[in-house]
Amino acid sequence: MKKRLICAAMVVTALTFGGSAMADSARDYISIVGSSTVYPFATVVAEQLGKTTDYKTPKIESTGSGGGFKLFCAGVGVQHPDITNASRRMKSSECKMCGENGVKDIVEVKVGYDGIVIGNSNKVEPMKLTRRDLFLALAKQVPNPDGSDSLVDNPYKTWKDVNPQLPAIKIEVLGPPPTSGTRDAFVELAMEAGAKNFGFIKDMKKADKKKYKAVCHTIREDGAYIEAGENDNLIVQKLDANPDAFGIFGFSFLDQNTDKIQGSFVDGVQPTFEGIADGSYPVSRPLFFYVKKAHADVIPGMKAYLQEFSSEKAWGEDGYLSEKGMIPMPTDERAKFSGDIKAMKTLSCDDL
Amino acid sequence: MSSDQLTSTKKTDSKAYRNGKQGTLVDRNNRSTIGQPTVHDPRMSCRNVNVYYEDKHAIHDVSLDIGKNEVIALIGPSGCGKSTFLRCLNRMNDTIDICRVTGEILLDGNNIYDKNIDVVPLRARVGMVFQKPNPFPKSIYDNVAYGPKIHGLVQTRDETDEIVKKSLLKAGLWDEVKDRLDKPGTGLSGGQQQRLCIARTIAVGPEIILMDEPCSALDPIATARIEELIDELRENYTIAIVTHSMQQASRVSQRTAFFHLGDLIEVGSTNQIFLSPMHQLTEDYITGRFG
Amino acid sequence: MSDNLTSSIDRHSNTDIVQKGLSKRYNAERRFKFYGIAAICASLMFLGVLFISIASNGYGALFQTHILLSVSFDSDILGGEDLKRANYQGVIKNSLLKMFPEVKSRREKKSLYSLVSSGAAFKIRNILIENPDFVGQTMDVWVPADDDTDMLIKGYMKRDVPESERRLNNRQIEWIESLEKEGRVEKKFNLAFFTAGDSREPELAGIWGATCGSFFTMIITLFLSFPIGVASALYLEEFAPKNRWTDIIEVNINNLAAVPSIVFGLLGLAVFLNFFGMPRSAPLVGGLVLTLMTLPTIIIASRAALKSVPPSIREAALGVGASKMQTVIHHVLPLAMPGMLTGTIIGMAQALGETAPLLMIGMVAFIVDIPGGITDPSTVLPVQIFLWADSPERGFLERTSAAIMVLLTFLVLMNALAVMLRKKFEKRW
Ligand SMILES: Nc1ncnc2c1ncn2[C@@H]1O[C@H](COP(=O)(O)OP(=O)(O)OP(=O)(O)O)[C@@H](O)[C@H]1O
Ligand SMILES: [Mg+2]
Repeated sequence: MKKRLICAAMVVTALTFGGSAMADSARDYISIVGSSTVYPFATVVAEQLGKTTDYKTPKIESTGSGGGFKLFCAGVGVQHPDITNASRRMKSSECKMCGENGVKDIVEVKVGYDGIVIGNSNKVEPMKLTRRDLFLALAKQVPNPDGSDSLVDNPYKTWKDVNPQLPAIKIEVLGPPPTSGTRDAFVELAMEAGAKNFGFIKDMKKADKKKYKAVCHTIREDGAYIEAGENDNLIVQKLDANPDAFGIFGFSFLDQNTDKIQGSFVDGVQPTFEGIADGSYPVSRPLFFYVKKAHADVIPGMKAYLQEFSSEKAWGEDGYLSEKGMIPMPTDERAKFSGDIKAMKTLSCDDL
Repeated sequence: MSSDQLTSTKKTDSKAYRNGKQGTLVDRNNRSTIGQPTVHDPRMSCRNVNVYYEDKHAIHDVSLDIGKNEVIALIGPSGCGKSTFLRCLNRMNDTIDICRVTGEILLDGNNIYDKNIDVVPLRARVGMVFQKPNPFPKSIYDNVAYGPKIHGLVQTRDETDEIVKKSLLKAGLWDEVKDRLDKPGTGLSGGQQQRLCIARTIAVGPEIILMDEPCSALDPIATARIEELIDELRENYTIAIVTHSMQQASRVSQRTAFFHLGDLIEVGSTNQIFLSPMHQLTEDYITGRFG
Repeated sequence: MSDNLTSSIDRHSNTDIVQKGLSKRYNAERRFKFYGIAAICASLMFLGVLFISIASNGYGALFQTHILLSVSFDSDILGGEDLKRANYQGVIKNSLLKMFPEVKSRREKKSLYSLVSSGAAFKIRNILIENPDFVGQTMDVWVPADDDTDMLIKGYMKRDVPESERRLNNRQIEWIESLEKEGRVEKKFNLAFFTAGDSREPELAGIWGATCGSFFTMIITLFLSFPIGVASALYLEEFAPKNRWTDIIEVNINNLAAVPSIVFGLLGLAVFLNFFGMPRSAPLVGGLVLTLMTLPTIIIASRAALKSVPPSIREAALGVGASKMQTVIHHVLPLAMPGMLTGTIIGMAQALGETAPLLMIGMVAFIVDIPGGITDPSTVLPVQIFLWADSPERGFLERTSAAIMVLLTFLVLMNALAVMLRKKFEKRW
């Protein structure tokens, strides 16, 4: 028995090295990494590709935008991913890192928009918030209520304290943890914009950028904001159970759960498909993916994947991606990016 | 086992050893060996053997010969080091990490503690029966056949069958187990297990057999059978036996060595030790006046 | 001395004292038993709640709503010679339109089409590829319904709430109700759940891909960690000299057993992927990483098993002249084997439920194709559960629970196996 085990171990070891040698020589499927926000959309396209063509279904890892760029920029070769998804634009530092590792030619594709929703149970009336309200309700430090140009620790307990027109319910917001792209986008699009209503904070941007960032982007830690984990489903369940609580999550979760939750108005616009598509809903962000040009001709199916993603039946007005909750780009933007894909137009780090 | 066999075993003078020559005894504080530790044709001879368990000095500077074809009995109060000494003779103490042996022990003139001595053949030559019965958790047959098999003493099944039968017969266990050779050895009674262990030891055909209280778990009939066996084996083997039974020592052995607190106090012919001990401690022990 | 003792205490009072203390002792025993039973009941209750909640959530996923369509394989609609690439979507749409001829506007058509799953087209594609002579015929085919339809039929979506609060509009519900009346809607056993790989459509998603991935990963883990673990335990316990080095090794092994599993993932990333250049997302690497993770468990359990083998057995074997190796292989190992196997299976069960270290080596991924070998990209069962739990579609909720049920079944089977093996080995003697 012992001998047999030793044999088996040897076989496995042999396979190990054989296997790694094999993997080095070729990869017959597309490898995609990146943002968990783009993941639900990219996977649908991938599945479509796998089912309707002879290519293998691309493999998609949800690593977060930053993690995706790290893997993507590690180098050229089959052991590195071909495409990375991102819920924000590539940073110029990331582009430089790519270049240092030989990843020179990158094609940038915007695929659509995602709205970030602040919502609550639909058993109660929807709230009408402004970004200023959101900043005052959720920031760690807010301008002194007496009107002077100084910052104090957030004293607000109820929404009415923040804005007399809002109801007197306790501020209780469930949201994603700092590792999440949704949170990054929320603090940038909602809170920072809200903070800019205060002149002295706006001035701070030029004087002390670090401090400005810290003021705008730091969420209060006194229990009013509750980190609910990366799982947006959990937030939805909790909101359903507690009508006084609010949650921050991606639009696709609102879209799938309209029977339980509703989105609050932000600056007078409710998060609807149309509102986000035409840009009137303020808390929305573009979604991207980045393609390694060097891989496009080497990995089978790359061209087909790009074509599928940029086809009208996928990212178009009535495409299947919109059914999954992605907000399509306007027609001219779609035309621009599908043109970029056809021409494999590469990105220069200076544009970022 | 019939009763006439029992009576036929040597009922050595059970009263004789009381007639010690009092008055001429060596003082109880003298701890150097007296008597005849050496013989003219030794099979094994130990010289200045010391054994330590970590820093506990368990055997102090013992020198003792074991002659050819003799049965030597090791006696002494509990904890005096009999087992420890016996285990030195086939290097069984090597298995205890904290145990350290110094001095030399010669087997046919070669020091068994020499670096180039291989313990495997040594233990095949010097077999051991332990104080507590320790059969393998295997069948009775396999228990006995194991030794011959690993040493390559048997090739065919028939040879193995024969050696198993012979060994079990010698150990006086055959009649009881011949129908259940494939049953686990651990399913036997304590006494039967001990005899199984003896059969296992003699199956290998050792030249010297070390027995550590082999009869402590046996009834008088089985004891008598073992003593008979020892008598038989003596023709070809050398035997060292540890025992707590004075009667047994006097029945089976030619020489007797008395240990006390790690010292070899007195050694001599069995008759002499039991009839006229020379040391006060020996006298006290054999007359049961200890403690 | 002993005379004094018995005479000074009256025999009678002695028994009395014992009698008096007796009830107290029995009470203590009874109390202790009660605490024990209470503890067991409490833990059984928690387990029961867990199982019931998972089972009641996951039970639904075992069935999938199907819709009976009369499909006409019209070569006009199929278009072209190539059956692999024909317009099956069109065939499905056509048969839906035939059932509801009043649907005219583009918007309405779209909501009608969305009642059946996009997998329906693949289903009839397979039928036609197997039987190419069906072209031109019409036949009734049960096709999977879309997950929204499925949710409605299963009662998770309420029909009486305002239209804006549900994902199906009033027209769609009307259509479904008329289909129901005609007996064209039925819940069937969800075979796809057990035979398909992952999918973004809940009605098409299955756990077979993840199960295969888990299988390959576990095979690698078992074949590496068992021999390596047992051999290290044997060496450390039986052969290694007891000195400072072996002490350090022992302390480190015990430490490793307590290291959070993500650390092994990071190690795997650095060593197997970056240094050896092994493929990402492969069961091979997953197995290697999980081997690292389970090794300490197996070594510790194996050493404990070896330690519990009575030394008298070793002495017996050494005494008849067995070498150290023979002693260990013939006598010690068989006695320690049940304990080693138990340790191994517990380690494997842990590994089977692990996701964190696999995250680092890319096994937390969307993978549709069923892996066919140890270098194919794949996920494992717990990762599949994690990914589904994070999906917005309502249909994945019950599938998550169903996948948990499958995982739990495997764990129960493995632990039962451990008990059985132990019984078998122990019964021999
Ligand atoms: N493994 C061991 N570790 C430490 N000390 C030991 C060990 N074995 C024996 N000793 C000590 O060595 C001394 C001699 O022990 P030994 O077993 O040789 O006595 P013994 O004469 O055989 O006694 P008994 O008649 O009770 O079997 C005792 O004091 C005992 O405590
Ligand atoms: Mg002893």
